[in-house]
Amino acid sequence: MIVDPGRAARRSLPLPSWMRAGAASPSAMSLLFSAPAWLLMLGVVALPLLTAIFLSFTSESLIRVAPLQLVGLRNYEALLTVGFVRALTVTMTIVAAGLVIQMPIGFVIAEVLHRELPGFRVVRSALLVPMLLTPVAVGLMWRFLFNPDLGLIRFVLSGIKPDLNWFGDPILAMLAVVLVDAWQHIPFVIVMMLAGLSALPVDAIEAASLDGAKWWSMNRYVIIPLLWPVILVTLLFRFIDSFRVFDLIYALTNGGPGAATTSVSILAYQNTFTYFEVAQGATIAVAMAAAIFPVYFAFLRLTRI
Amino acid sequence: MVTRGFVRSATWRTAVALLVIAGIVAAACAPQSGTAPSASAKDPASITVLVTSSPSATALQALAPAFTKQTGIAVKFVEVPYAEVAPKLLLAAKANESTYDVSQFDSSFMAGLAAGGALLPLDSFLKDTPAYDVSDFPQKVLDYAKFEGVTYGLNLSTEPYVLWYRTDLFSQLKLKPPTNSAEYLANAIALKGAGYFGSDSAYGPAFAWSKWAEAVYLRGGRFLDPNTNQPRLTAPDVIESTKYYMSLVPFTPKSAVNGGGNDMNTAFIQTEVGQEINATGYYSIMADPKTSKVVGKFDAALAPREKIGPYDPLTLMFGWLIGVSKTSQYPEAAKKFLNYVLAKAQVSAFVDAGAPPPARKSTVANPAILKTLPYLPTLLAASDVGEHAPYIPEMAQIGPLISKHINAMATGQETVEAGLAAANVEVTKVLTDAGRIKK
Repeated sequence: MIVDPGRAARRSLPLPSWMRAGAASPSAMSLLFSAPAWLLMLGVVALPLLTAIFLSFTSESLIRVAPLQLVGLRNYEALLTVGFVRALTVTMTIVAAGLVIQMPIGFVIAEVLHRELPGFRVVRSALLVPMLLTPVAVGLMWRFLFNPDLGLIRFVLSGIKPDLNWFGDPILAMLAVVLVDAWQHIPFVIVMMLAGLSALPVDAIEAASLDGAKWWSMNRYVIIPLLWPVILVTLLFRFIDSFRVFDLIYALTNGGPGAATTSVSILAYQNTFTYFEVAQGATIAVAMAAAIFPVYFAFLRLTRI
Repeated sequence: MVTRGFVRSATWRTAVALLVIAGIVAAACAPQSGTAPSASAKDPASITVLVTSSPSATALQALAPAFTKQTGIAVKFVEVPYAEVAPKLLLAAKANESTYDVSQFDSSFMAGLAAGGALLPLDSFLKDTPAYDVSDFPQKVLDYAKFEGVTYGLNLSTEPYVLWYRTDLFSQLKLKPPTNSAEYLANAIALKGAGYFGSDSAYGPAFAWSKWAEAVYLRGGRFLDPNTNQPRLTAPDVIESTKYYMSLVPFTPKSAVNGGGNDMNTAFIQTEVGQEINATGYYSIMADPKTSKVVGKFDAALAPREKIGPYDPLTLMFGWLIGVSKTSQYPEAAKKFLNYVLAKAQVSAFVDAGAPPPARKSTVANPAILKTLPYLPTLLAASDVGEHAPYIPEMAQIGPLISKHINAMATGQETVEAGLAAANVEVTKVLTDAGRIKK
């Protein structure tokens, strides 16, 4: 169980008068003035979610003009197919491989940048560029680079391993997705770790250094434990983002070869916008959301927020 | 002093907050503009045309200003990616919103769009519009725009699959355009032996089905029974045609193995591909010196056919159709636009704008058009032996399902027999669930 050392400090911050213990409860005025924000949240988040949940219990399709029919759990029973299980496996593979690659590399680069070696500002700016690009642009760019006939990577690797068909082999296609996702999102990990490292207490690190701690011991026993809340938040964000990944896969491999890189998001898109089976697409989307919630609650439990 | 006290009062502030919230809720609940009214107005100020990036769309946009000058009706074009056309039309129909008046769509989506209530029947337009001259079209081309006997689209471009081949490479190796699959394979072997790509086709996970279906149709097979819609993916002729189609993978550029028709075309115009079977609509890209390295070095011929299956060997026909949205507020204005751009007299203007014309019989009698589009006689001949893919709404699901298995076979993840068997099961389930066939 992780205890947040800043929790007590945050709880002692001064409060507005209307929130202090013993004062009157928050007035209706405060609630009313914050209502537009709540209404926006309702319209953008809650209404689509509730609509999707409702649709998942119907037989709604765009290519049939029949009246809306409730079908109970039939759509959820249809999820228990090879297609959905395979998509879930693909998604978890992308998530796991992505975290294993992105977190350590992002952490190490952040540590190097934290040392503020000469030229670190230029390097830091350059490293953050991939994070600023849209996933579709990234996917298309790498699709051209990986092109097995005309792509740059083919020419670079031709001396080592000719005729690699990145999108014609299921393992290579998965590797391409994971590597491109890492290329784009390692900068996010760097930013988070750098912010965390900058806020670490210097005296603890200095004390460990004076005691003769080497790089590995310093990180294992001092830096990582102090940085743990930041690492957990970064893990959570990257987990959710990787789980939801759609545009990168759509632009890069379109879910192929076969269904080798068809993630749950791609499957939901295919069902809704390619097959026009809106109810089935909504069911997959709701199942995705339900799958992510336990992770979020586990995170809350671990950090006691 | 009294005013400041009033402003500070809880009553005043509560009233202001309630007014703000009421305004936001009222704005959110206000009726959408453009919801289809019960009666359509005549001659509106403008109509909206949904298009997707294509030479045909470019031609429509080129002709629109003259239409506006003649009728006073402005034309607004909304251009979306190919994959978004059908969803946008279906969603607008479902919501009963008159977002689009006219829409361009791929023929393979017509059944789904018609079944989803997105298109207006146009048989009366054909009867009442002499300028269109329906007699100038071969019957097969007219039937190609019908779903369940009703015309829902007009031919914007007719694009049968034909054989495209490199005249320079064929001349060098003393090859002739193949007339059957054995000759096609022999050409492929000869081309590969000389260091070129012997074939070019798409085996990608999204669009492979149409190229595979062409291989089946050209050899007298069908993947759905034309009379009963029963899947036939495990029929002996379909298995044999699929094995033949897969035997061409080693001769094909890898980018085409992973992709669709566009990737095939890119490979043909950028690398040394000797022959391919692809839609005639790609001609304008092949003949564009800005993008193509094969300008003046290719020609078209009928795709090689032979009877191995129980049906007539035919080539598949695809192409753009253009129709009127069922929820359009201005269907008469929309029909006026179609009457203008698709009139027989406008064919030359279409061609001049860089678009392939619909397959009118009169185009081959026009020397100027023939000079610009020398493949037109082949197009018309292919249309005579052409057939559209099954026009059932479930093709939106069946096509991608089959494509995944074709791609899996081409990349070694499935054998032909296993892939076709799995696809047959999935297609049967789709058609059974839709009530198209009985269990």
